[in-house]
Amino acid sequence: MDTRSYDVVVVGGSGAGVSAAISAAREGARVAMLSKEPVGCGNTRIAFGGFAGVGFSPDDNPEEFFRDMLAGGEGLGSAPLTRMFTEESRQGVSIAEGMGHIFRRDEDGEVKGKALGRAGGHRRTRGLSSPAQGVSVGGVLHNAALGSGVDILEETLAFRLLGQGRVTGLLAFNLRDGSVTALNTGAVILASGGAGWLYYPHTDCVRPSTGDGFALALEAGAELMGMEFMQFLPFAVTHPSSFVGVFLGEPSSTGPHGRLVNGKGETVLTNMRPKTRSQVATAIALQIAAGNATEHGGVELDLSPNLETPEGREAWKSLRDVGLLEQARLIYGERAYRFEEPWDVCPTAHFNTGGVRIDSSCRSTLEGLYAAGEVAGGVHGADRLGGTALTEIFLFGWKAGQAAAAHALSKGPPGAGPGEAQGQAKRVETLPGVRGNNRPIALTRRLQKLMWDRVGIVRTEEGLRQALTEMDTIEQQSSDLRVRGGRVFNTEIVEALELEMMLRTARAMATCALERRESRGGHIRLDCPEKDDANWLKNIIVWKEQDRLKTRTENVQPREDAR
Amino acid sequence: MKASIKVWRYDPESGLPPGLFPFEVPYQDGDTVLQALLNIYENEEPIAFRYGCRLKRCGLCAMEINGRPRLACRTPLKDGITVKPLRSLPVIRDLVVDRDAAFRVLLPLQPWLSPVEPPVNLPRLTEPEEHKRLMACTECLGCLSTCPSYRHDDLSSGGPFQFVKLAQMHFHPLDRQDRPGQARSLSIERCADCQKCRCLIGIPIVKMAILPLLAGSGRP
Repeated sequence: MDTRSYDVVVVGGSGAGVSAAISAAREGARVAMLSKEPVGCGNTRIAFGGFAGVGFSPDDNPEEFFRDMLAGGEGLGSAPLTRMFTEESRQGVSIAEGMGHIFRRDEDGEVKGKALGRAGGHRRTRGLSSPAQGVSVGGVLHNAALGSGVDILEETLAFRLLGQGRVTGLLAFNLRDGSVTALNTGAVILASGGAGWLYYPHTDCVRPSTGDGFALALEAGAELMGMEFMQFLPFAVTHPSSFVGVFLGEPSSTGPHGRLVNGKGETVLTNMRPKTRSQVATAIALQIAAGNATEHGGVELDLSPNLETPEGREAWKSLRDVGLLEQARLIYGERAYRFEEPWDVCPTAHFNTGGVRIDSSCRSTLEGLYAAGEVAGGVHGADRLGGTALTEIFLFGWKAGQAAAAHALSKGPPGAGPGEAQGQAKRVETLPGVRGNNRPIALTRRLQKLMWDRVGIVRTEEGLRQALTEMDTIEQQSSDLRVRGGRVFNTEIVEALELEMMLRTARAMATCALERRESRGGHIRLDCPEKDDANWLKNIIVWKEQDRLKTRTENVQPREDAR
Repeated sequence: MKASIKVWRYDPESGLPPGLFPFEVPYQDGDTVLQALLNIYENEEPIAFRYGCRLKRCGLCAMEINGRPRLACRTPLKDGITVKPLRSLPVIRDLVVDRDAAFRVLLPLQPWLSPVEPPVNLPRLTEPEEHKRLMACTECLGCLSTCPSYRHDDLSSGGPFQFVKLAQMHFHPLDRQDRPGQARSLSIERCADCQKCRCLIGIPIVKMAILPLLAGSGRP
């Protein structure tokens, strides 16, 4: 096993990771950035490319944005973090342009007026957009990372944090040559994104979104919060099977007259534009749970009434112009694209709004461990407004880089902890060619189906308990793995390591979902169907203690204390 | 229904010769080649391939399908197709190519803005249409398979991908480097009479990258 030393190691090579790595390097830190895929191929690249930012329309200000965010998060967002985010959101978009991205401008070359849009839940116009969508942001991230002087370790996965009581390094597995490397470091920044892939194929996230950062943080002893909240977008493809889960739109893209029709032909929802993602996704999930699905397992999104009014036709044009109808055209065809035919839709797992608990410097509760982006919790509460994630990851990534570099440079290099590292490395190095009974991919698929069936939008106490029991079974079976031989690009080793981390994350999500005996945001309990502000304006904190997950609740901080 | 599909296998550790291996996969209307590869992976053999998003944005699943570079996630499955890695790059295992090889000639040319300096206010600027189109590049590297002269081990020449990356910078209003000069250092002049390159997602590479770099001197 090789050992290397850095001041700061960043886990993740997409939006938050590149931002953190560049920022830490600017502070003079020696930085390594790990990316499970080629750099810039995370969810940022496949996102739509919208960034929410304050101060581009005359009627907007940070206070308005702050209120929208807390309302969007259904009362559970952290007021101090949200305050900071909304006040500094301009900096988030500036960081992206500093790397080389260019936001849409109006005819005067400015980011104002017609260059801006508005996603659902925002009461002011503050949506910057990207002419070539998230793909262009991904390309910029790649370019900027290559030019940053940071050591880039691509197709490399972090599978264990090292240190006792504080983080002093991590173990990394390289897919290209099958090697394990110990990276000793003064600070680790988790920027590894979310766990949408736990719901495959019912997710619009990329394959590496296996929630590694949540699992790493839990295992090392850090606190997580809000893990019961998974944001599901309401509209995704139901068939054919190659495209299940692929994103088709959100409430703001239904025009003024879009309506939802269940499998029995009954209209179940109209006027969706002002509704949140979770409200619409929940309405669909409840129809499916009640047995009112279409033959493809979804409901029909009928956009044709839009064709009957000037306002509706205008909505179609603007959706077409920003490229939001392309997926529908590719998968459901020309008539669907023209709104003439309904779309069969089903919710899709999109974003973990909870995550590693951080302070305003992106510090976790564990010394030496930082988190930024989707892997961090706090800003979004129970649900998330459109366009806020991309701004968040650039801004918080940048802050995490600064704080982690300052910490690492003031501390000096950590001592290595070889004993723990050697044992873990050996375990991984002996994986190729083991001849047990279970292929990692088979167990992963079982876990994914379990998450969708039992820990999806609509949950019950009984289902969640069953899920936790079944996770125990999958975990037992994962100690009896069958893995192909060979070290070069052996994806089964990655899957084995990911499975371990997916199980930890899944368990935290199900445990917190069981704990929250009410319905809020993307978490709907059929056995406790009402939102219960009297008892549940609280965050659930989860951590690991002596090999068991523990939880406690904390009251939400009153917003007037947020300064 | 079933479809037969031949997949290129290469195992650098086995010493066995590489070659095409036949598989039978379940087939439903609307299935993609990516779905077929996933079926093989889950039910038969752990063949190596990259993929990410299933919707032509991540660029990771470019491979040669029936002899042409395609994105597996956007190619309908048909009976009797053949799947091979991109011919233009070294193969690591099965369908996985060494992407770094395509970046080796680019790195000395610094295709980025440097240093990264977030502006206090977003500057007033006009983004050229070419920049908007070129930034849709998913870096799938498929275009390199359509170039008759690109060789990844020749560090004095580039291919369409490298010229797209240079043109992205050429059309960035804040870039200050001589990208046409850099393109000449990668032998772009031989592209003048060729123009055979194609982009898998439809970026007009010749019109928006090759010709402007050939014609350009210094900043646009």
